Amino acid sequence: MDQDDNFYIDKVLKNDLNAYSVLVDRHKDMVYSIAVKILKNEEDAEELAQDVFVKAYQSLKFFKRESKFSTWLYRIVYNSAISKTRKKQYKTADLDYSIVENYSADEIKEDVERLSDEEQKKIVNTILEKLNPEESILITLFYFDEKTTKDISIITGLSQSNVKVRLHRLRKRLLIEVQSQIKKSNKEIFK
Amino acid sequence: MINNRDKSEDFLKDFIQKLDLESPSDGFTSRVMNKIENEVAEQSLQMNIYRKLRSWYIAIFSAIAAIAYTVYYFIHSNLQFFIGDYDLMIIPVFKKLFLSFKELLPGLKVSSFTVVIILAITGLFLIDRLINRFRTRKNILFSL
Repeated sequence: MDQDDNFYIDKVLKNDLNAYSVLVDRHKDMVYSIAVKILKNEEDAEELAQDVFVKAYQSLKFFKRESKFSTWLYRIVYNSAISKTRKKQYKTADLDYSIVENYSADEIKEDVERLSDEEQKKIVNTILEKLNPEESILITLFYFDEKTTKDISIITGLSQSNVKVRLHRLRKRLLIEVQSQIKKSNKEIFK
Repeated sequence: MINNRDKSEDFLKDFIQKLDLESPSDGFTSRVMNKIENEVAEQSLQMNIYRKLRSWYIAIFSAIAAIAYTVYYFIHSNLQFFIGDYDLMIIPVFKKLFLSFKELLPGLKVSSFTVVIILAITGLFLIDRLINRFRTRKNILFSL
């Protein structure tokens, strides 16, 4: 049975260094994903992810367990990555709002299910690439890691209501974008 | 009853989760653990140096306090204790040194005891600087 993070944290705090490797293994993908989404560079992201795990190890005794370990860890990686890219300006790709129509989730779902797994993955990838780093992180944390808006608020430093508003807008944008991508994909098929 | 928003939410979750999370390269965990082991080793080395230096600090402080007290005693006693055992020529040298130090700051009225304390603190400060230099050099050596 998988033990929860607190079990391994207790072991690490009792100087069991090997227990920390379990925590690294467990969270490395998410930590790396957050870093790579913000830094947009795999090498930099990997270096940052390593540093974050070392930093987290050194600060583990200060972790008060008021939030989940993953929330605390993602906050460290988010802040470290953001401070590394503070001077950079991000541009969001414009969405094609001309095709905005009142599609229901059921209709979109039906259209998506007609596509192969590979095509679906390609569409998700294209959509996520169009988002700016902050939006991409919100989507990753909310839909991939299924973090609550409260946890996302802790990680990103945004207020909880702000997170909710952004997620609401993003949800709309994503549905529009999915529909647009499906149309494009259908056009390619019928060419 | 499931509303439209929940449906969208479920759909987007399932749809986005089709994509795998990015993964770091192979051996990531072992590289992190190596880094941490190195950090731990370096920290314990620094702790050892610090502990050694701490005992040095205590020894030096005790020595300076003893010297300061002896000097103070030499000047303020009527030398009754030392007359039989020590060369009397050396005692005025202490006294002259002490008085000339006091004359450096004629406007400042401080007791002899305060001067001795100031001298002791200054001595400690200089030794501390010296030890810090030694410690920094040693850290550089071990970090290579």
